[in-house]
Amino acid sequence: MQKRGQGEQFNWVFVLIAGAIVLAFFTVFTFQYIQLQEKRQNLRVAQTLGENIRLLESTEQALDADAFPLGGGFQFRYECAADHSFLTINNDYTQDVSDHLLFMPKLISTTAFRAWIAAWQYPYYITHILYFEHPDTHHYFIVDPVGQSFVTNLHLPRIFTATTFQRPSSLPADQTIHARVTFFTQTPPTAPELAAITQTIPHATIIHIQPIKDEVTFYDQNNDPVFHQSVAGKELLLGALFSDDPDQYGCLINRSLSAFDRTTRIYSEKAKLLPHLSQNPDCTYQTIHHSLLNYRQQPLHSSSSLRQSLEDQNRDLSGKGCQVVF
Amino acid sequence: MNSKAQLQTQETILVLFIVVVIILLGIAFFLRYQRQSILDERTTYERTQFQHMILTLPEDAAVRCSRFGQKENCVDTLKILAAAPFFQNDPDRYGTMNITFTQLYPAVPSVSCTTGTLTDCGVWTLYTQRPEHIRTTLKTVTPLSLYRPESDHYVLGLLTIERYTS
Repeated sequence: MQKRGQGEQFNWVFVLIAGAIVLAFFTVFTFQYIQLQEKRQNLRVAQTLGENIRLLESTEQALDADAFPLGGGFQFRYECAADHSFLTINNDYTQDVSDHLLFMPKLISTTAFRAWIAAWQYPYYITHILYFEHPDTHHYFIVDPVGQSFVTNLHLPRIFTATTFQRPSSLPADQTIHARVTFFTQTPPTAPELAAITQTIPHATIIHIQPIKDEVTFYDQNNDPVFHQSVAGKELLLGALFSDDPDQYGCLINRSLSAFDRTTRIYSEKAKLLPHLSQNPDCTYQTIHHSLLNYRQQPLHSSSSLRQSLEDQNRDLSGKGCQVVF
Repeated sequence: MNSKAQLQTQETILVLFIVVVIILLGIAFFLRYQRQSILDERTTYERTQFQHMILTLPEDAAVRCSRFGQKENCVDTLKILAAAPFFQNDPDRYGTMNITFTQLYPAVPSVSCTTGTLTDCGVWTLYTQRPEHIRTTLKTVTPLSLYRPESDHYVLGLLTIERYTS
């Protein structure tokens, strides 16, 4: 009887151990399988991103959340370095987006994107600039009369949710984390204005854009200015509306300047080569060659007269029956 | 009875052991297959990205035609020569690759165009970096419109991109 009891006990222990081992196998298998499926999904999201970027580049249209779904919730971490920029999906797959100038939040969890593309002309085409944001983003624009006409000329596509308020005015309460407040005003926001925004929209990213000087200022959570830079062209100014990290914005501005520098140097090289092709003695390219060299050395935001002069010189070449440079 | 019961238990353990081994092998095989399929998908995606380069490169401001600052749908052959040194100095970005534009029609001598030979030539190399030993070559081509500033004419050309692995 005692032996029989021991035998039964042994059977139970055996069944329990064997069951635990089999269960452990299936559990490990399930977790491994889930991990692999997540990897696959991250890769597919990277493919979706790549396809949509190409779509934007070829159509130059804006994509709303319905046109740019991701098929699930994903976290994106965007990193910009001097030569490269990367988009890491769910801390797993890293997509190299170095070929694109992409303005978007540094860290974003979303199921879809709103996206837009604009060609940066200064005065010639330099590159495309991409803008991505969360579909729940709400832009609050605070404008003065100068800012009002600047905002009208931005031609922001309708897919973006933006409400414009005349300064001074109080903004409606908004508790969401995707609210963005931008001042398009000649003078920076005052401390009481910033304090009022913090009260009504506590998670808002606050930016000031000086529309005449093309200057951008970011404010931190204590409403202190943390970043201030002059930028070249409304396409780069617009980038501030889609960035939430001043350092990252600064990095992208530097990368855009590198793209500008490369394009300008190519045009100045072209201006050096063009005289070899022309028999027309009126076609002199020395002036425009030097103007281009000067243009790339000057701070872009203060080069409007040189820009105008370059356009005139290029037009003059055409008027003389010569090849234009750009 | 006692030894019969022992034998039965040993049999059960053996059967269970075999079943567990079979399950383990199955799981290992399945997971390995899944991993490989993800790797294959990744390789296919990277290959697709390379093939898309043929669509994006002619859009690059470095080579694209422009007139009074506005983009045009062609590649400026003079800009290829002007841009080549910038591409050549960026091997980190382009790797082991060969990017060439060739004039197809009207036919011209298949002579390489350089800053010293701007006319009577029909091949422009934007970037070239060939490894010593080439294991595989991935090649993609597309026809496009080339602009020749010396004659102010648009000609039919071909863009060829080759990527090498060593």
